[in-house]
Amino acid sequence: MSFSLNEVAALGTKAARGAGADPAVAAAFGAALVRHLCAGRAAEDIDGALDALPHGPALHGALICRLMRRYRETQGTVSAPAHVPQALARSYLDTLPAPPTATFRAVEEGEVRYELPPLDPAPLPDRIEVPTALLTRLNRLAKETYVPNSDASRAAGAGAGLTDND
Amino acid sequence: MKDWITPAEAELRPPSDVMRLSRLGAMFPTRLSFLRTLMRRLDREGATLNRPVWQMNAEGHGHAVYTIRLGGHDYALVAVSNELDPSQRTDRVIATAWDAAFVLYDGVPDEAEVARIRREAPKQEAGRFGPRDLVLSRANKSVRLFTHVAEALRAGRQPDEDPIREIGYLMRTTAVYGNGKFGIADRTRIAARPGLDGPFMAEMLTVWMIRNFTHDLVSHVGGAPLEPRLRRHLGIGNATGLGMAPFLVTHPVLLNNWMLARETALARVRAVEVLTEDQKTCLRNLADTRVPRHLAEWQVPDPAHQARIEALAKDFAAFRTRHLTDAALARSNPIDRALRAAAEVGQDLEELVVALVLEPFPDLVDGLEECMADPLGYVGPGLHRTGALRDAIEDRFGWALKTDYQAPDACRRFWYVSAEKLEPRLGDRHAEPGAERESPLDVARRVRALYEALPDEDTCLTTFLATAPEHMMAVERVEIALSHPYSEIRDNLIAETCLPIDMLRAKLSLFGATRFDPKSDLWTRITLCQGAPLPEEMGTGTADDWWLPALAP
Repeated sequence: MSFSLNEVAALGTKAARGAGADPAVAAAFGAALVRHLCAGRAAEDIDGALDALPHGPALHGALICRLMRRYRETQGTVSAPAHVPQALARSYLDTLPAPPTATFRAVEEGEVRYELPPLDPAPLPDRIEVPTALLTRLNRLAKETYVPNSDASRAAGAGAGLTDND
Repeated sequence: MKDWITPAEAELRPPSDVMRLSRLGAMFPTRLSFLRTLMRRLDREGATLNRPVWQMNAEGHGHAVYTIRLGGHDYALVAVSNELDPSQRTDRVIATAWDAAFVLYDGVPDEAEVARIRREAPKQEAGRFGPRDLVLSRANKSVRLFTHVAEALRAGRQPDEDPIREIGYLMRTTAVYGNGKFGIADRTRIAARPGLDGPFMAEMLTVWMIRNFTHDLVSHVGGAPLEPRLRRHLGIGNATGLGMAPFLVTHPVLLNNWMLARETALARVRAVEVLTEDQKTCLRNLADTRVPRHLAEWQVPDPAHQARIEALAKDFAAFRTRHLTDAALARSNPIDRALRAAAEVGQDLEELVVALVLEPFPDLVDGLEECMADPLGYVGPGLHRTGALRDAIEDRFGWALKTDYQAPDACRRFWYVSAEKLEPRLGDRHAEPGAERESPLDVARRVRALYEALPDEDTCLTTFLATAPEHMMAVERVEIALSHPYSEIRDNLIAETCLPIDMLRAKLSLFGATRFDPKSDLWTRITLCQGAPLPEEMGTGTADDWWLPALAP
């Protein structure tokens, strides 16, 4: 089954929240997930990022994007934290409104972790296929953000009655 | 080539006033509301609504296809009307069947595509859709009015005006989904297309086409046409709950752009020193006739809200006899004077007058509609150091630092998504389970928590976030607020006193909704497109005069 890009981004965001991510980290993860899958990059990177939440690659991917926004006009040398697989780092950078086109080298306060070639993000397709195992995992984690139903919740939580024939 | 001179502007109203929940809950539609923008566009283009397919039985069950060309692209509304057992008719998200289902389609569907949509659309959230399906919607009948109108037409007469005035629509939509939901097209597919490039334009086009479908359907069932005057007053209803409110919180840049456009329009109008005769006439006509009639016809069952409307009508009557007279409008800076006077009375009157005074100034206002989209999201450079972040919090979120979020009433509410069909709901943190899964609408609480977690010593913000990732969202909100002054609702959205209905009214006003009819603090019915031009009126240059409609001539 194919999905819209926003469907996958929203699912990825919820899954990351379900796995313990801060909402902004989760939103960045959802956006990067779309780029990652569209580019045919390894689903294992995504699994690894979900495994490590609330820290790990998903957090540091979001931090890389913060840093690139700051330094995008300097073209080339930026600060970046560690621990993000290169392919996933590229997926995060692809989400930026103005993706960096120069060589990306991280030199955060003495740390050097990446030297990525210039980015040339491909145009996004209309649809994405999500690997079955990953889809199952994303859905399972997303459910962690839903509150189980109850009669009280059903009756009062939405602020409206159960029939509207007026 | 036309020279462009930036119009003079008075001071913008401060976000500390504009972005309070109670004021947002007093908003009225303006000429910048999305439906107004769309109607102007359709009118300029002389858009023609065609109905190439109409296959309905005598009871009005079947399907129809409408087509329209906008901005050089063809679009189609596929409408599917089904029989619905009354026990299943609910406006809630938990519904599983509806009177009618709709898809706005990119292009003109062939028979196979129509058959696919007829199969999938009635399933709504349980269906699967494709990249040419732009918007998915559904609607239920106002059984009372639909039955009355159909019976009247069947009896060879036009329907009574009283129920039309009271209800205002034949059907009400209970969801209008866009941007990729359930597999429909992502907004990026249409975001650059003329006519659909503004916010929610595809959704607004859909509801206008649905409104016309409801007119055709009742005429078909009744066997006779409705008078144009009645059709024009019959909008399309909408029942809206908590699903709409979080959008304002989760799209801070968009919210800023919407509010900034409106406030800029207001600042331009306030700076007008002398009114032309046409501007005075427009204001007087609206103030003397349209507004009082609209307020008089805006009747709701809830006593508290009805009292509020009646108080506003009384306040406006007193206001116009002092501040919108020929003599008052002939003075210098009459708009600014009027607004200052309205602000002395209260928020309901002030917000009504804000919307009113924009009407006579299309040249100052309408171009701002092009600033209301958010194609890139937040693109600012952000902050580098925790010290700068602390300063920014104190400057932009001082209002959020005053609350003790541990106090029971300050954190009583929690927003959540129910596992039951993902219906958005609101709970009592101290009495109901599930708060650990709450949706992150607690911006104020998060910013205060961030403020308290900041180290005393000025440090690298990246380093701080790497060790305290739970504050990333709060950091981003502060950064956005630095360059987007209207990005935040300046209230505690988890407080016992928070009224989500205020958020609903704000967003729906921006859409162009009227006749707010709250059913609780969490739920409202409204009317869209009431008074909006009919298809045959497009291209006549008269399609923009429908602010605060009234049925009375």
